[in-house]
Order: sequence, then C-alpha cells, then structure tokens
Amino acid sequence: MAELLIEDLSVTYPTPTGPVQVVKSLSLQMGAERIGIVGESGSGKSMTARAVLGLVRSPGTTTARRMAYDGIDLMRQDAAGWRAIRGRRIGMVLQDPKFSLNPVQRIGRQIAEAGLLHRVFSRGQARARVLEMLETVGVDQPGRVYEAYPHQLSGGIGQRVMIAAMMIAEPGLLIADEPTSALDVMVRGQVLEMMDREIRRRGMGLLMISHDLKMVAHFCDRVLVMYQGRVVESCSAGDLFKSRHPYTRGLLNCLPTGEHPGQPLPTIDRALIQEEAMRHGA
Amino acid sequence: MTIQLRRDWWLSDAPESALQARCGRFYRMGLRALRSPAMVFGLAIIALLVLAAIFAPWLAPADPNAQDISQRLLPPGAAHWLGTDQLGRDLLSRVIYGARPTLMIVSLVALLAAPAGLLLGMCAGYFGGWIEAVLMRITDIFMAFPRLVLALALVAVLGPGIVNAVIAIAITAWPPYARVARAESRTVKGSDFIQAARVQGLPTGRILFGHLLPICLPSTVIRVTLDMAGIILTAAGLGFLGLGAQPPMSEWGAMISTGRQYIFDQWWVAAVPGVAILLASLAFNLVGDGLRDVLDPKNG
Amino acid sequence: MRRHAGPLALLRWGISLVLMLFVLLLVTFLIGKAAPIDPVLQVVGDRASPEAYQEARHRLGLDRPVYEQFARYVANAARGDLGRSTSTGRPVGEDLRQYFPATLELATLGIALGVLFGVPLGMLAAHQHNRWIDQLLRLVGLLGYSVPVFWLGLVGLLVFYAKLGWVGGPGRLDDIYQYTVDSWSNLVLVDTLRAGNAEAFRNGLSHLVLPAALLGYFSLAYISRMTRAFFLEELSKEYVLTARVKGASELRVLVRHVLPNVAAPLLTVIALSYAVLLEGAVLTETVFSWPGIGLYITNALFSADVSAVLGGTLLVGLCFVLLNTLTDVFGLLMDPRART
Repeated sequence: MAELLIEDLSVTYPTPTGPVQVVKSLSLQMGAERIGIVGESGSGKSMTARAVLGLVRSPGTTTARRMAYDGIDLMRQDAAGWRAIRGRRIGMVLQDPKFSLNPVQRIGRQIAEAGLLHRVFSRGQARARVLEMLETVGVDQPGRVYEAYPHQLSGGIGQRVMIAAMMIAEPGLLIADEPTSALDVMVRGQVLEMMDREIRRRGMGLLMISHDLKMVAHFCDRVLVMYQGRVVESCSAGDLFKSRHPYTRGLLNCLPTGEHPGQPLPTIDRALIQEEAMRHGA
Repeated sequence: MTIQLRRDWWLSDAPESALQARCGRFYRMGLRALRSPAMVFGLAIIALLVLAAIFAPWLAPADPNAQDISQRLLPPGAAHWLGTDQLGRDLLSRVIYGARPTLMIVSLVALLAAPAGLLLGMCAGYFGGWIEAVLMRITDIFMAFPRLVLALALVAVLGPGIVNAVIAIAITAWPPYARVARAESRTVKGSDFIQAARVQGLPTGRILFGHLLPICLPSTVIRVTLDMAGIILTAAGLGFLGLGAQPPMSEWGAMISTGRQYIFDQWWVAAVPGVAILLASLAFNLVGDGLRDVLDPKNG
Repeated sequence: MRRHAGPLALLRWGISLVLMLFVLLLVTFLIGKAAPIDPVLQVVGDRASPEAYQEARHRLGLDRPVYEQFARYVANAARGDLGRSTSTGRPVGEDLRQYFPATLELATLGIALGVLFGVPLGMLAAHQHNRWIDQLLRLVGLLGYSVPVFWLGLVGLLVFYAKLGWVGGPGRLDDIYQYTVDSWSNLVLVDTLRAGNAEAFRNGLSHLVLPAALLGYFSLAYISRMTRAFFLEELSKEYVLTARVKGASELRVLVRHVLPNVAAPLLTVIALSYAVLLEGAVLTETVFSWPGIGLYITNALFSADVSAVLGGTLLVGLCFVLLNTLTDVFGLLMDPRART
C-alpha cells in the first residue's frame, strides 16, 4: 500500500515586508484512506496540495524534513522525475471545470492525455479506454461527451470529466482541491459519491481539501484543520463535531443550522484563537 | 488648505483635503515611476529633446545652416563633435536644431488627434446604441488605412511641408485613442457614480467632461505617449522622402536622405541623425511603458 | 461577448469589407480631385487647341457631375483600369502588376522570418517571465520598434555589404543576371529557379537576405511582444495547471495547450504585421533600390504622376483593408466557443 509521508512541510514566499510562511510545519501520514483538510481561504490548504506535487512556483520555496510517496523522495525530484510522478502516481482534481479544462480541446483528447503520456495504453486503445472511463464516472452519452468541447458541458459533467482525466492513468493518490465548490448543490452529492466509490474500489488514497466541514466529515476518515498555515487540529471524522479546539469550535458554530432561528450567526474570535495558539505552543 | 512643501504632507496617510489627497497620489506615482531605470532614462532623453528644441540657439555650437565647403565631410572630431555634412555644416548643431521640427510634428499631431479621438470614443462609449455603432464603424474604417502611404498621397496633393505632414499623420492617428476611450467609457458607463450624477440632473456635457474624462485620460495618455514613438518614425519617413519639414530646417529624416549617398565612406552624415531618431522614439516607448506600469500596475 | 458564427456574421463581415473599400475609393478619388494638376493637360499637352481640350475633357468625363465621375472611377477601378502613368506611359494597372510581386516577395519573406523567430521568442520570454532572457528579448523588441527601418537598412548595407561583403547590394539581382533571367512571375526566387539558373538564384537570395532580415526584425519586435503578452495571460490560467498535473512537460504545455488557445489573436497580430510590412516596404525599397510598389509610388510622387500615386495607394490600401477584415474571420474560425 502506497503511503504519503510528510514531515514538517513549510512553504515560504518572499514579500516586501519579509518572508511569509503560508504553510508552517505541516506533518501528515496517510495510506489508502480519505483525509480531509479544512480551513478558511488563505489557511494554506491549496498550497499544501501544490507542494505535494512540486507545483510551488518560484519565488515560493518548499522545505520539509521529509516528504515521500511510496518510497519516492519528493524533495529530490527534478523536472523529469516530477513528470513521471504527476498524473501517474499522484493526481489532482481542481475546483471549477469551466477553467480547469482546456477550452479549445475536445473532451476525449483531454481525458486520454495523462494515459497516453504515461503509456498506460496505446493510441489505438485510447478511445475505448476513455469511453469506458466516462461510463465509470457516471456520464451517460459518453460518445457525445467524447466529441464535445468543455463549454458545451454542464458543471456536473465537467467535473466528472476532470475526475476521469485524473484517474485514467491509475494513480495511487488523488488530491481533490475543492472538488464540488463550483457545482450546484444538487449535483454535489452525486459527484462526491461517485468519487468516493471509485476511490474505494481502486484502493486509492484521497486528500480532500475543502472549506465545507460537513462534507469533509461525511466523506473522510480523518480531518486536519488548518489555520494560517498551521495544522491546529487533527482528528478522526467522527470526533470532529466533539472538538474542543477554539478554532474548530468557531468553524462549527458558524455552520448554519435550524436550531436557533432568527439569531445572528456567530463569527470567529481570532484574538481568542491567537491566545490559544500561544498557550498550546503551536 | 494650501500646498505645503514638507514631504510628510505629500505622503500623509490621512489627507485633510481633496487637494492634499490628489497631490499625495501624484507624488506616490512619481516615486513609483522613478524607481524604474528605464523610465528615468526615457524621461531624461525627452527632457533633453525639449531643452534642445527650446534652447537650440544657445546650445548649438554653430549655425546649422552655415556652409563651409572647405570643411565638408569631416569625421567626428574636436572642432565638430559629430562631424560635418557635404556642405560643411556642423552636424551636432543640425541635430540639435532638428529636435524642433520633430517635437513640433509630434506635439501638433497629439494635440489634434488625441482630443478628437477621445471625444469620439467617449461619446461612442457613453451614448451607445446606433451612435456607438456608427462612430465605431468610422473608426474601424480609418484604422484600416495605411498610414504612411495615405500620408504620402495627401502630401503629394497638398504639397510638402510641416503643416501638411501633421495633417496627413493626424488623420490616421486618432482611431486608437477613440478605441481606448470607448472601451473605458463603456465599462464605466453603468457604474454607480455616473448613475448618481445623472440622477442629480447634471447636464450630459458636465458628466462627460467632469466625470468620464478623468477616467479615460490615463489610458489615453499612455496610448498617446506610446504612439508618439511611431509618429516620430512616420514623420522621419516622410522627411526621408523629402515630404516633411523643408530645408533649410534640419529635419532628421531629411538629413538621412542627403547623407545616403555618402553612406559607404562618410557614414556619420547619415548615421548620426538616425541615432537621434532612435533615441527619441525609444524614449517615448520607455516612458509609455513606464506610465502603463505606474498607472495600471496590473499589466506586467 | 459571444459572436454567433454562420451566415449572419459572414454577411456582416462582407458589408464591412465593402464599406471600407468604398471609403478607400472615395478617399483616393477625392485626393485625385484635389491634386493641383490638370488631368486634361496631362493627356493633350500644353499646346492643344481649345477644341482638342474640350474633346479630351469630354472623353475623360470631366464635364459630368462629381458623383458620376466617382461612379465612373469605381467602375474603372473594378475593371483594373486605373488610368495611365505619365512617367512610364503605360496603364497604371500594368505597372502595378509588374512591380507588386517584388514587394510581395520581400514582405512575405520578412513576415515568415518574423513569425519563425518572433513566436518562439515570445513564448520563451513569457515562460521565463522577468528572468534575464525575458529582459533581453524585451530590449531587443523595444529597439525593433524604436528604430527607423530605412536608417537601419542603410546601416545594414554599410556593414554587411560594403564592409563585410556578406550580402548583395541594392537591387534584386546583379546586373549580369538582370537580363539573362526571364521575368515570368516577377518573383526573383521563382523566376531564377524556373530558368534553372542556380547562380542567379543564389545571387537573388543574397540580395533578398538583408532587406528581408530587416523587415523580419521589424515584425519580430511586434510579434514577439504580443506573443509574450498572450502567453503570459494564458499561463496563469487553471487549464495550464491541469496539464502540468497530468505530467506534461513545459514544452508540451506551451505548444499543445496554450498555443491553440492564442492562435486566433496571434494570427490577427500576424496579419496586421503583414499589412504594416507592406507599408514599411515603401521606405525600405527606396533604400535598397528594390523595384516594388514602394519605389513606384515614391518615384511617381516626384514626377507628379498623380494616377500612378493613387493607383499604388489604392492597391496598398486594398491589401490593408483585406488583411484587417481577415482578422475578424480568424476569430470566428478558430474558437470553438464562437462556432456553436
């Protein structure tokens, strides 16, 4: 079983007022399980994903005591090394298919690309494999979608296409960066269930990044809560709602429920969190 | 509130009057502009150009039209820093005086074409509808015409000379400004402060000139500055063909033309004015680029 | 804003084209009318009798109202009759047919060089954003559109022809070949090949190299700058990230993913650049004594040959207008979003 091992990961960007760490000493270990990373915008969630794939572009720098996947040292890869890893060992699904798909290429070609690049199948077999993949991700009329362009597809189908494109080269780990945030609420559940099913079926690991606590708690085994680049809490999904950490409690309290109709929604008291962080020596 | 000379007044984060706020903005833009060496270089050259044009009689070592056949075609040296041409005239003086027709053409074209284009573009963008369609059609048509060749034809008919050259160039120079102004007006047209002005009952003219104009002005200024580089080249081209400023005015393009026959042996006669044109054009390009970075920092 | 392709857009494009041609003809007609030269005198000479004058005037249709004259002018132009040149004595149309290919040859070679080097350089600059190679390319480009092309041509002749002897001098062929090669298409490279004369071909090439390189550099400056701008904008988009995540190499990302996305605006830039080159040829031809349209127009200018000047202007204007309206078509053809 392939494991992702991260020890003490930091991503730093230089600014006119001095270097800023957007990810601070993050550690994580996962195998064929589903891990969720939650936090607000700017908490460093997406940067973590980029770092794992070596996509932090200069002037940002990535440092870690250790970062490896299935024994491959991710800190020592050159361009050729990364090309072999990306898509084939680790894949990433982006948020909005309207932007993450190439507008002037047909869908079939876009899905096949990773498979052809990594020689998972030959050119002759490509079409059949893509159609098969489209069916697997729950697209009816795969033939029509194969020939279509991205702007002709709805958000739900677009995201299924994206998932298909990332799974076709059969990676062991999938990172999903806000996979359903851009979709209609009604479609979200279907896409997530399909993704969940495929991940389990293939024995893959899933690193799900989101700001949606409820969704993460539902689909993941473990949850990491990030605040200002740091992991402030790490627990199993079931324990999330029982958390005592002030930030996590703050996030949970912000979730609208029907319990107190007519009451203003609470906000996060950051001063309190800073205090707490100091006290815990984080 | 009067303008004060203390630096902290200009950089204050809490200005006490509109005047102070505006001064602060310009000062900050100026600081940003000066941080780029390219921009500083460009501004320096333009300053040099303007000085040369205005103070030519005092800066030039000799009379640009003073002929001395015994001194003809001398290479650059102590007596004549840039050498002499085929009639023995000092090249340095001629180059300095040459700044005059160049700046004259450039400023006249800008003065004619920019307001015309700006007005047209603003009206097109603000009024929309069929007015916009017609005005933009006209703009497109003029934009599709070859600038130099049309200028040639016009000058052929009207006769050579600075004024005709200016008219010929200005006629094809205004479309880009109209385009820029229309694009800006269009985006701003629906915004709240314009609506507010309309609701207040301000006359259209007041809205156009008081509110729309300041918005369109920065992009237009950038565009004009960048265009000036091209206008200098076009004017030089006309001069090269003998259609611009007429002798005895020492126009740079015309100087290249006369120097052409001596290019292989006394190359400086044609080379020197060319360098002047290059520097002038380069300066405007650099300043235009710099202005763009300063006024709209999104464009990297 | 979505453009709806299909017959409606084509119709609009056609109307646009016709309108521009109309205005072009109008402008050249008006300029011709404003010329201080009496066209009747040009035909009959100074010593003609009053009756001969009147007769010629009537024949030329100059006693008809202005709009009729214009209609006649348009009809003639459509047939290719642009009057007679007073300097060559031949119909202007014939003159144009002889001289235009030379300009076409030069401009085409120039744009080919500009695209061949300009696009990859622009791509490189965008990819190496703000590193030294980007700065260098920007500087080279900046010089390219700040320098007066005709002056650079002179300097080029000085250095590469007179001092180094690497290229041929002014003119298209050395005199010895000038009369031995049959001019069939009036394109030097084609004609020398057709005559099977390898030496002449090489000679023609050596004469073409410098002016073509000059125009190439001129268009390269603009093309590489625009390519860089287009690529910079695309490289920050999400689909580029997707391609990288799939394991695509940087080259693949640039060529297979970004390039098709900028093809339409890039072709527009190239078309406009070509139009500018045709114009720039006017001055370049003077410097290189290149027997093309530019030289023809400027010579006609100095001999007050109004019909020739206007005929040449019309031809260049026509090319300009065609190239400009062509750019609209590119957008419609290349972007799948516009086609549906």
